[in-house]
Amino acid sequence: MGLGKYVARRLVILLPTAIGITILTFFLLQMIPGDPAATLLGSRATPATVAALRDQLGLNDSLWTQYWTFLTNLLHGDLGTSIYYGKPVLALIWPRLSVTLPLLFYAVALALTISLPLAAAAARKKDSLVDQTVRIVPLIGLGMPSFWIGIMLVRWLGLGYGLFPVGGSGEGVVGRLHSLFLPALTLAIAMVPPFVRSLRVALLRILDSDFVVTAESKGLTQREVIMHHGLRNGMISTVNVIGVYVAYLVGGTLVVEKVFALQGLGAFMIDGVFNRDFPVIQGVTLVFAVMVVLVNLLTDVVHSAMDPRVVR
Amino acid sequence: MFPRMSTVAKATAFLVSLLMILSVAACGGSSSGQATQTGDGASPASGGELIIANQGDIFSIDIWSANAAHAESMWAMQQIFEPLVVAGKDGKSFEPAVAESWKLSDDKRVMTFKVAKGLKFNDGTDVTAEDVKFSLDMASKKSEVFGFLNTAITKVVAVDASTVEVHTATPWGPLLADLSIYSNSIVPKDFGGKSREEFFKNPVATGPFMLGSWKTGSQLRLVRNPYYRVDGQPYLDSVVFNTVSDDNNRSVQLRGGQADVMGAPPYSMLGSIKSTSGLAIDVSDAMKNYYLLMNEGEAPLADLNVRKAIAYALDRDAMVKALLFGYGEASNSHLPPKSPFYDANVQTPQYDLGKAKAALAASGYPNGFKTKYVVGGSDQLGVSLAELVQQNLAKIGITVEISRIDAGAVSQARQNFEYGLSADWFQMDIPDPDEILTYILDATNGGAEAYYTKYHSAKMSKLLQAAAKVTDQTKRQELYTQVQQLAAADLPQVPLFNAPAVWALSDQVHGFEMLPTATYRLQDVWLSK
Repeated sequence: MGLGKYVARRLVILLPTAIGITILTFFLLQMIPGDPAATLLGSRATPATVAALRDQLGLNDSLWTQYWTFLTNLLHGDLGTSIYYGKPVLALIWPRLSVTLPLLFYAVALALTISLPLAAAAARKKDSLVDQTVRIVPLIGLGMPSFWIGIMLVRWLGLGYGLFPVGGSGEGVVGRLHSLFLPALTLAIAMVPPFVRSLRVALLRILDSDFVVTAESKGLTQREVIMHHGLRNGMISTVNVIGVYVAYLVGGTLVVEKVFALQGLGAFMIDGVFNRDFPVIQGVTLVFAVMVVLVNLLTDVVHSAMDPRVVR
Repeated sequence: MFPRMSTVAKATAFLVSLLMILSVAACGGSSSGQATQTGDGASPASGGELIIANQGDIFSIDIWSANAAHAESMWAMQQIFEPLVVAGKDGKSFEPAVAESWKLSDDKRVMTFKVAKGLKFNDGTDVTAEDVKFSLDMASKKSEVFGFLNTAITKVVAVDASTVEVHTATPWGPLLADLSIYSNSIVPKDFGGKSREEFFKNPVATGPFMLGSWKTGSQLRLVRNPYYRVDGQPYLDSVVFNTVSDDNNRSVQLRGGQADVMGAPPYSMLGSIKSTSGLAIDVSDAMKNYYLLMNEGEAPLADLNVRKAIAYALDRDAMVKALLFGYGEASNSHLPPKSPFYDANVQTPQYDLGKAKAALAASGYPNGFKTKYVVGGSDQLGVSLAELVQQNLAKIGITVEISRIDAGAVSQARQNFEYGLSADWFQMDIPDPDEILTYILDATNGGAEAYYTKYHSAKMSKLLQAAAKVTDQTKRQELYTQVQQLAAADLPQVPLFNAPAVWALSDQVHGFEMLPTATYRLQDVWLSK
């Protein structure tokens, strides 16, 4: 089927998925101990003030009434109002999305920039010292906790050498790129090992295949073969790995956001959970779910665009 | 003051606990002094922008709403809004703000305030008695979070353009203190024609600063109020509040110059900050009172001898050393030393293992018992405190089972009385013990069953009510002395220790001081180059 129809069909399926997720989130939230009104009032809470606040927030309505209100608001593009900020959740999400999305793309870009040359170098000289190093050293990045890497980068490059700001997301395009470099690098370091391995395996397979023999017999050097044929074909399977990791990162940026004082969606979500700010939790969960579905869709689209053999 | 359970990422929890473990070994408990800033003999320079890195976020600047009733929002609001009077720097007296003078009637039931002559709001309009009446009426509504502080007020009357009468049903000792709280700040009548929501997006008030811009969740910027009532102040052009919840990042921002002031530095970090050139710390009076709550709904804890045994068994000095790194002191009373009407002679049971064992032997549970201690998992200090309590009580045969749950679940457990022990801290918002002691000790009038302990004492309630309904200072002191002695005898909670509020700052910041009422006055702050 054509690309347009394929995408449209996938988007239509998104709707019931999203609604299902909102139902699940809504009813799961009711099961955690802790009440938004009581948490908001903290030590100031007395049974009387908690009851009054719950009334004000509409928390005393039946669960189905509350869910119905949420759903009807949702269909009008209103994700509810944050209990803590008293402002619409959607308005609170946009500025944070504009921090988390660039961070994600930046991290993937950095990861690829690091992985591609490494994988190419390893594939060209299979089983050599270069190959062994490339296979083993990045694993250290996989083993170290991301918050530790982040803190070390902040102290070393941020504070120590003053090369990067230590927190905040910066103003303007250049400022953004500058401020987000360290957090994106932290995320990238964890992604490099799987990318490198997947790319290396794909490249090795390609280098063994018939059309490469043909190319080499035509007189192309191994380097030219890799650049012109190998990478493009090798990227196909790696695209799937990237897709999986980006989908995993949606919502997984929380720790890096906290360590680098970035006002992103991950940090917003975890604050919402601790505060029992139900509308925020529901709203952000929905946004995450939609993002994951879209990332999967994008991965499939890119994959089928790169590989004409794939049947849609 | 009441704690908002801050969100501390796994990262911070890990790093702080690592630092604490290492630092406890090195234990450098230096004594707390007052502001240890340099060169405060110099004269203030005008201009500049102060950058404050807060641990928690500012949720709202609506002075009457529940979601603004926590530290960071309060500190911001206190720079924008002013009440009739403000607490003095000693935490006991009062200074003029919107009101320039006040007089108590002979029957002690009417306080007459004179609005400061020529006082203007930050939009240039005059402040009148009608504005005062409107503001106090709004604040007194039962539905507002601090409405309970105004229950003694029966009516507010605007006698003429600059005179306001506040009437109370009985003589009311805490009246000035109640009126000094930020939620009793003065705003224009009827919000100058706007809706309440519209108004607080760009508030008109009399404080030294006004709203500049606000990126919710990350940065609030205040700019100088050109109509501020004190000539030459504020010195600063603007103030920026950044929300940086990660302790490590906040300290790195201070060290790197991205922030001038750092809120909530972990106690373990204070030594290294003090010894860093260019940085200083401000240690306030110790007004954060930590209490061990004991749920009398659970059988062993209803026994007074059991509670006495617990009180005798807790080594508070060791707690101050281990948890606060020496910044603080063990409590001898339910009130901290700098509180009005504090009595230094009150004898709350102090650490004495022999007396602890004797008390337990005299109780109905001489062989000890098991009890559940509920604590918020992300509250590092709380968790360490729980472990110390567990160790102390194990020595007399009481087995403490620590239940680490998250903050929301902790408050639920307390409200449903599903706990044995728990610890919490409380700080006065006003320079008067009425607010804090009613909440903690008065089950009848406090609304939380004596801080969730189910302590019911008709005698205590009577004493507290009597102490509030009298204005003579000597008489109030007598009554509050009796309250403190009764609290030390009945032990509904065990007062553990009093902690100061601590701030870390660049040494270019002058005049920054955390006052006993947990506020700071940015109009007094100036930056040197």
